[in-house]
Amino acid sequence: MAIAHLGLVLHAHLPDVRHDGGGGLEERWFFEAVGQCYLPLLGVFERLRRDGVRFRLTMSLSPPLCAMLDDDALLRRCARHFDALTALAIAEAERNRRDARIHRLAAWWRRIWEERRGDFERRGRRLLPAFRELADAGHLELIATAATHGHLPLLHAMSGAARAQIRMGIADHVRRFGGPPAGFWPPELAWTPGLEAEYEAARVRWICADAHAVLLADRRPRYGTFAPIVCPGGLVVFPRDAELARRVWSARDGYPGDPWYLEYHRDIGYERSPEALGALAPPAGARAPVGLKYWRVTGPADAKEVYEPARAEETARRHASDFVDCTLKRGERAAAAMERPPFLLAAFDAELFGHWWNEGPLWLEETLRRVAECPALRLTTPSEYLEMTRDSALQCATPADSSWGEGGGHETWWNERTADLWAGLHRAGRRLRRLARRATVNVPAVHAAARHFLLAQASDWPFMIRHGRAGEYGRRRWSAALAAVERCMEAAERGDTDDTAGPALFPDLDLSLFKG
Amino acid sequence: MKAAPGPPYHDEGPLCRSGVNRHRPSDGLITDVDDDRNVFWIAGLAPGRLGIQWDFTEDRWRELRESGGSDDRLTIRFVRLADLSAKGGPGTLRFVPGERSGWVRLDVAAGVYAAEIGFLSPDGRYRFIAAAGPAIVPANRESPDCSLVVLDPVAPPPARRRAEASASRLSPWRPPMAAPPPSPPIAGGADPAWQPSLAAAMEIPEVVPHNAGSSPQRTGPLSDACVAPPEAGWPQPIATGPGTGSEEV
Repeated sequence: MAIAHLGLVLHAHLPDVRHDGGGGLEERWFFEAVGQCYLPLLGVFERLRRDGVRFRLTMSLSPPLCAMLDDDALLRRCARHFDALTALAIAEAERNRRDARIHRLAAWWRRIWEERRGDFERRGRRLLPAFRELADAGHLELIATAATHGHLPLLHAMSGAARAQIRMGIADHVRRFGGPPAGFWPPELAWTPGLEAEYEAARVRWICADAHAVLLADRRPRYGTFAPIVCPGGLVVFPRDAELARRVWSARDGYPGDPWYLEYHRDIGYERSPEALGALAPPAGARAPVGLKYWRVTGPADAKEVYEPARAEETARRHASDFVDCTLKRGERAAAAMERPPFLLAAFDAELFGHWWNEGPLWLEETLRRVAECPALRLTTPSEYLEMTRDSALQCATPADSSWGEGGGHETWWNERTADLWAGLHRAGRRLRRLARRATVNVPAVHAAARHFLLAQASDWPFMIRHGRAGEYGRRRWSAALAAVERCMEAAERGDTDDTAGPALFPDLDLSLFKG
Repeated sequence: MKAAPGPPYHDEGPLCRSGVNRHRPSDGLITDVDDDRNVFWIAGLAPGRLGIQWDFTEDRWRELRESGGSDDRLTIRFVRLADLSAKGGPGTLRFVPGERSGWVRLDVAAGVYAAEIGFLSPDGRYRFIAAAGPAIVPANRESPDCSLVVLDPVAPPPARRRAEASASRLSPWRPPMAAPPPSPPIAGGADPAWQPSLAAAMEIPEVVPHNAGSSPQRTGPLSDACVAPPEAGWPQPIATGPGTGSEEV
């Protein structure tokens, strides 16, 4: 008898990092995500399915990520990247013949990359059909997200911009996955009152939000974060469970910081000479991770000890057991005081699993297996939960303005460093709105401007600028997108039909959404 | 020499003239700068914090500076709409750096805000430039409103219409009349029957203490290409504390 319900939601997103002709170092983010996250996650889901384990997860795949997963040229470069990694692991094994521990690890990496390369080829380099198949089999509920991962509360201040992000995100989902999504993942779990009208008009039934969105709602939530609330217009909001998030996500004491896990930041890309890195050497003067690592977290000090895969796997299993125990205890305590079964939402970026946290896919697999064996806990999607409890009403309240960013608000994306970016977006948005309303302009150029405008809105760029992680790249991409918007708008005003090439996104772009 | 008294500053500008008092606006209250190139906007940043940004073109800024006195100071006037009477109100004035573009954060009480930017003369005259809003600043504590209003999410009111909630207490949960949606095959037999929880106590369950300051962050971009390795450990440490330039109001 299930006492409590656990909802696991994974959000997969990368900004569009394609460059004409390839070769951009940032494309490696995509290659790493495919090799370290998406392929291992598919492997987990397919093993569980093969073993007859009951599991249901919710997953969103952003439109820029889907576009990249469908890009033949990029996928060819991805295969070449895997080849280079395998070659590097072979060379590393040879180079470290006298150090048995490093030699074994290099051979371990070689085996991993050979397997993943083989898996990639067996799938015809196409991952989206595998996600679709899992959805068809009832294991995944695929939901939509914003068109280019725009930060919706801040875009809501620009007439129609949040609406275009939501509507184009849903349209892309329908085109790729063949049906309307029941739910929607707000980028950065960002919310502001007023967005509910946009979601409801787009027929979104439910969204996720961070815990404080509901805890600080305009009416005090009777069940805290153990039940969704419903906005006055009917949009259901599922809050993230803060304790479950902390156990996986916390910088201070989350599972991924365990001393036995692989240390993400010690990568041989920082330690070997460019000659030793071969095809994976970055441009002259730059240093970048390549994906081969030999050290474990060990502790806060710089001195690291050699990674031991078996100990790391054992730790992941222990952490999975701890997570399930914690979920069950929280669920039992909540159920004792509730008139409906508690629902605990655990929502994460998919890229956590395998990239930042090497053992993440194994932890997820073990967690799913343990939940399936626990009769008091049931893995349920938000849609399924609403269906199961459809005879009981939800508490009506409007969530508080919030996000899962630093401080719980929007300052990560709007601050001194990124203010000029937002001023540029406001300017471009107004001019585009005026153009879109004019019937006589060169429509293809306006369409191209709208596509570039959507790309410029990605929350990734201000995030990178704020945190200084690839900040120059974020600013360059944002500047390039806005410059392209201006160029296309000028072409439209001139009636020029030459400069109408836009990014390869949103073939069904609805220009009316940009009229404000 | 004392400046001659001018008209009270709160009589100028559309914000104070409008005298609006809306709990939660669903559309734009005030149109901001109506040309393409000049920007003035506000938005809630975090619980108890408001962000304000202005960015004028060189030409517009020169025109603005030349049309007033040299002692005029660039000023933001912001108003919590719930505090605004039907006749309008003065709001709060805040001098900001007299530059063509800027961004400031203000620590304010929770509520819905609108703001104006303009020049304040030594004689108290306020020269309006642009207005923006509304923006919602969320509370940093739980709502005092403990009223319980429920809504049937299966048959919500039509979109874009605020519902009038009907019931005054939660309906008891009942098992679904029909089977839940089809689930994938399960090893070892059928899915156990789904049952309601046992207890019906009406206490509020334990709520996870909210600590927005330690809210986990999203992951950053995948590997930090072209940058030196950051300090060891996973994930990145979260910076705490307010940023620079914060002003308590």
